[in-house]
Amino acid sequence: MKKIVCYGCNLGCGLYFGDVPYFRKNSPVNSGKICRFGMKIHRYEKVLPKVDGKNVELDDAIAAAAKKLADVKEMAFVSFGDVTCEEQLAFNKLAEAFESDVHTCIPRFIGANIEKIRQSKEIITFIDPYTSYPLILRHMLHAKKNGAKITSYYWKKLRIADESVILNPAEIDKIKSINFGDSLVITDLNPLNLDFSNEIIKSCNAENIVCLKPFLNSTGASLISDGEKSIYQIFEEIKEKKIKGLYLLESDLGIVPDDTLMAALDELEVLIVQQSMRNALSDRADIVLCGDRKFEGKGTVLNFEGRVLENEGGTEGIKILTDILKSVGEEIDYDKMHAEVLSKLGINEIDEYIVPKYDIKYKQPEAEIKNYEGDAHLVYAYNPFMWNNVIDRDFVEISPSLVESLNLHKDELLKMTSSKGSVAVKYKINNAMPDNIVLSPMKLPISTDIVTPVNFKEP
Amino acid sequence: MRLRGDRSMEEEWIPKITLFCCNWCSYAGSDDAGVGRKQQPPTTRTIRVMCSGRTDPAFVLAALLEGSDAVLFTGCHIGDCHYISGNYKAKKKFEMLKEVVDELGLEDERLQLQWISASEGSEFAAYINKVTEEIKAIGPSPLRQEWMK
Amino acid sequence: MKIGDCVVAWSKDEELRKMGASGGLVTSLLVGALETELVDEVIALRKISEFEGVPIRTSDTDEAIRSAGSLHAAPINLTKFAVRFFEEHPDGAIALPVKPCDCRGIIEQAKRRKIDMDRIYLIGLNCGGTMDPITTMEMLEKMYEMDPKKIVEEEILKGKLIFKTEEEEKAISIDEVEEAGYGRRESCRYCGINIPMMADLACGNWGAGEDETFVEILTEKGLRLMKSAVDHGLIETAPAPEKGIKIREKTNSVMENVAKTWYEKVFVPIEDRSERMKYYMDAMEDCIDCEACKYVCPVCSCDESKCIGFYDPMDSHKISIYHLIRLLHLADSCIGCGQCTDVCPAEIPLTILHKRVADRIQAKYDYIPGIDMKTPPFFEVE
Repeated sequence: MKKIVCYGCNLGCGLYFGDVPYFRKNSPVNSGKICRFGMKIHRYEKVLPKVDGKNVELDDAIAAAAKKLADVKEMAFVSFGDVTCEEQLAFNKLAEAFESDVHTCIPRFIGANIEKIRQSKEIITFIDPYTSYPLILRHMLHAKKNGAKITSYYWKKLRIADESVILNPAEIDKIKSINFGDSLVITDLNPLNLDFSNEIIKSCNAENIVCLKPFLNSTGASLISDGEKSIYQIFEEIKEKKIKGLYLLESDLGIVPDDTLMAALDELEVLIVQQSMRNALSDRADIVLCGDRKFEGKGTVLNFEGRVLENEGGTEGIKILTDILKSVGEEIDYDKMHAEVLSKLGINEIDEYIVPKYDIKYKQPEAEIKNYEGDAHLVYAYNPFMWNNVIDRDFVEISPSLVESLNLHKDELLKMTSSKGSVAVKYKINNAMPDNIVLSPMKLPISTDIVTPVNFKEP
Repeated sequence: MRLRGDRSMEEEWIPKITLFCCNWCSYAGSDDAGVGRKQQPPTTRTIRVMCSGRTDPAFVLAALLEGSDAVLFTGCHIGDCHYISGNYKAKKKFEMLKEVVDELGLEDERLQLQWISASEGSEFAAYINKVTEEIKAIGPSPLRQEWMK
Repeated sequence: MKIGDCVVAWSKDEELRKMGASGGLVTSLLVGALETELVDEVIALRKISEFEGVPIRTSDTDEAIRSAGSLHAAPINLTKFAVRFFEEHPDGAIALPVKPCDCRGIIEQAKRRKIDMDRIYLIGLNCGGTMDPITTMEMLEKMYEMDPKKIVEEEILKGKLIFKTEEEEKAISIDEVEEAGYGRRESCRYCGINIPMMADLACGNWGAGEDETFVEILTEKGLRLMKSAVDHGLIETAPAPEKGIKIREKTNSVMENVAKTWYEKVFVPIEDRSERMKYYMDAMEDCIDCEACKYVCPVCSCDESKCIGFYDPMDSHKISIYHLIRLLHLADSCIGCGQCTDVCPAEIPLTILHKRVADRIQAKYDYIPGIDMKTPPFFEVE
């Protein structure tokens, strides 16, 4: 069994993997415990290499990619960080060879570590640990057991919180006036909520923020790569024809709430995706290069604390990049990349039980937090199960009184209409929900943003 | 679960009782009660199973969680099972389940086992009357959500 | 040698004697079982560090040799690995070292026809408890003031927990470390089954001298294992001294008493019905539906799991039906091994919840799971 890191999020949960996952009880972050994502880590449909919709040998796909890279000038390179540091670095080299940067779409930031959560006396959380980053829950429970007061700011009441403040989309800018004091703040930094997290990171001390991130190696990737564009900027530039070709490394741009944005990808001269999972993006791409499965890449991974972890596996992903780089006369290999990663991180050896010190400045993205109009709102509460396309919950959560006011029976569907159209979905009744929010773990076709104003009348 | 409640029901609380009847005895017994015009309260929701042995404990747990105030196991008298040993199995399942729900803190009245034969219509009606009164006395099940009407 | 005999034994191989604990007997038995083709594969823990052991299934003797050494801080239950073996090789034979809880799990699985008892060789190991690796590392730093990475050996001797590095050795009493929340896992503290009398062999260092293992031969299979290793020139045996037998008995009874005290401390009955309801509801509400407790459970054996089948994440129940069905399913078979608590990401004290229910039923039917082949009460229909 190989020692791997779960790719559900950037918490860095360790586990073993043979053909199924098994618990690695001396893993520092999670003591071997894994969430329902980790338990299903292997359920994964692997994509086959493709060029223009036809299945081809991997070598042919690589040759096609190399040719396109040479032809199309304005290429953009995106890797959210669902790969090891070594592969990310190899991808950087590739981007450099074509005079470009790799964009991770998540700013560089390392805040407080797990030990700090366990010791703190006051915690303010902006995430729902039961769904979003489940393995952080146990550390919060530990703090609570030792007397910590937990306040949550979220779309519904959280069981763990002593005080639950329910966010109201119409007055979301009120988070600007929260007095954080010396509380430990738990929030997440993901490509879709930069305005929101920016506001929080700005208003408190970096040492007091636990900043969770969504992808396997978000932290490592953002340390290694320099690109600064946000996911929305990339779409904007594609529309403006500033970007003519796109190379995506294990990065599904389909996480954006507004599906219509994806149509921009059809305007590209070339869309190259290097990923292992089959999804809507791989079906849309011109060239599909298939590397190791997300958890099978050999190399180092940095979790949200900056803890350096080792992932045992193969180097197929790096090999694809090596082969493309060969076409422009550059030679790289895993060992070279590994040595460079260690020197970039300023460490000599990998010790998962020690969190190294980093001195990183958070660079604020330019974004203004905005309120949403309307009486009821559909909120897309993205979580590991969604950003990895492993949809295991196809229902929304609503309050009992909303169900009553809409006269819904069990097994009926909830109908909602937004400016983009209507949808009918299954629902779950949750006492913790406010009456004006429909919380959805999945992206619905009617959503226009993270928060979408909706009404329940027939159109 | 029904969310749209009959408003008049709110005045006097009427319990909801899930009743598992075996096809051969207790279902016929309940039929006999109906044919004989025996008065009984409208508290039961009857689920016909081919044999009391088919009453999976998971059905009972699901019924309790979905808002039943009580669940009744009924079947042929011991020795009379249409399938020879089904009611012995039902009895075992009931005994195990009883211990578990008791440990969980549910009152004794909320889970009961009663053997009813096809001809025992009046016994059936009397039994339902008795259980309804018992459940009325102890109130709604703690496992039921407030909004489950 | 015959069934019922107590002997002391050790490996003849110099290297194994050094690598393995107590004379390397268990490793030699595994190697012997493979070499004499008594079994197709063995299961063992490959030692990565003092705090990490990876379960492996192998038919390679070198691999088996590398698994030598005892690991108190790698609490893994091997039952499900044995189940997997029989799923893949219904006619195969396997040998593995088992703690009492592994052994009980295997016996419960055998009752449910997942394991063939005639083709599984159980080398029982005395067990005074296992420790959680992460808490142990924390304990070493805080209480022992030692660097966990430098630990080369740990040992439990005369009620003390001893850790050794190349330079030093420190001992603190188990009571003291457990008072501070460290030491053995909670389920081990109240476990009173320390000598695996239901296995084929019961091995351990209680009552044995330096670099040798005390072995009680319990079954025909156990005798076969010992004989084949002796015939193959892998081990040497001598009759166990009378004094050793007494020491072993005494150690066992001391451990049993400690367990009893812990049991009373942990399982304080909750008399009031509504308090009980609140207790169970509250404990299970943190559940995040990972299903890890079911996956790791050594006695869980449904082919198509009913607990998962009846559960729908869309339900808005006050207690998860998944857990209720599991409480019921394990009511007669829970062995209290603690694996579910170990893997629960929401820190739900699952073992305690399961044992609270199971102990009632097991006491009512006078049934102790996993110690013999007695039919479980659920299956015993008049």
